[in-house]
Amino acid sequence: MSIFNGMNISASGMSAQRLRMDIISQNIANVETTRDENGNPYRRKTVVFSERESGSFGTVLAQKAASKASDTQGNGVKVTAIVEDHVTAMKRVYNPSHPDADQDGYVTMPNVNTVTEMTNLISATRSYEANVTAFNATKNMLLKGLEVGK
Amino acid sequence: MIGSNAFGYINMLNKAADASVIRQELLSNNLANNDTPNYKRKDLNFESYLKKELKGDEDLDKRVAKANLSKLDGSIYTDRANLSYRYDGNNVDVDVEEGYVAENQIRYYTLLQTMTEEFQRLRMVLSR
Repeated sequence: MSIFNGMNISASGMSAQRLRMDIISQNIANVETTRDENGNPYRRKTVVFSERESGSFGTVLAQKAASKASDTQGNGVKVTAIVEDHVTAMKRVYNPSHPDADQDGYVTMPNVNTVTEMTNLISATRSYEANVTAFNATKNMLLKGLEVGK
Repeated sequence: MIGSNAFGYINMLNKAADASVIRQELLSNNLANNDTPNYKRKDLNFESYLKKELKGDEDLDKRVAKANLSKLDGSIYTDRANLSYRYDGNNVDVDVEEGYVAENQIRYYTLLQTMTEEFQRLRMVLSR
């Protein structure tokens, strides 16, 4: 644990939210993609977040020993996986002239809903901004600490 | 100066400022985990320890002198209240956390300012 822990925590939140924004952008960009690298229609992707635990066994032990409480200090957030959405149904559009149409003339389109993606994008932006605010607060506090006694 | 407890207040303020820095990290962690499913917000309990160490009817100077600073580390707790309003089991409210961040920042600045003034008083006495 260093004095820059607070800034690292906020930075982890910022990079996690930025990755989420990247994935959302990818979903929106592929809203009409009927062939991905395996030749299947594109499936929307989502990120899975989990709390980042404090490093090694040693650091956790030291933290537990130092404080009387059973709870340890957190260490930010991490992205554990980027998963494909198999819950939302794929859209089927009637378009017989499309090269990927089946024998009935239907094309399977990605299960990307632009409105959902845009809503998630706003949510990610707000969370990112919240982390920026916390980052700046921590930074200003650390800088103020240098002025004690002046 | 040595043994006179001239730094009693400064040591006490120092402990409070330490607690404030730890609380800032916990609040940052809550905000970073705003979208983590089943995360529960964490916070620091410092004030009740301070209250316990400073209780009594004596003069504040004496109570500060008697206080055991090693018992003023505060304890981290997980706040399991307020479970109802989110689907994902997370209980972080960004606006409330931002409010705490601002409050904590002002508290920290106040503590540092008070510390600086305490040093200035000591310096003034020494330069007479």
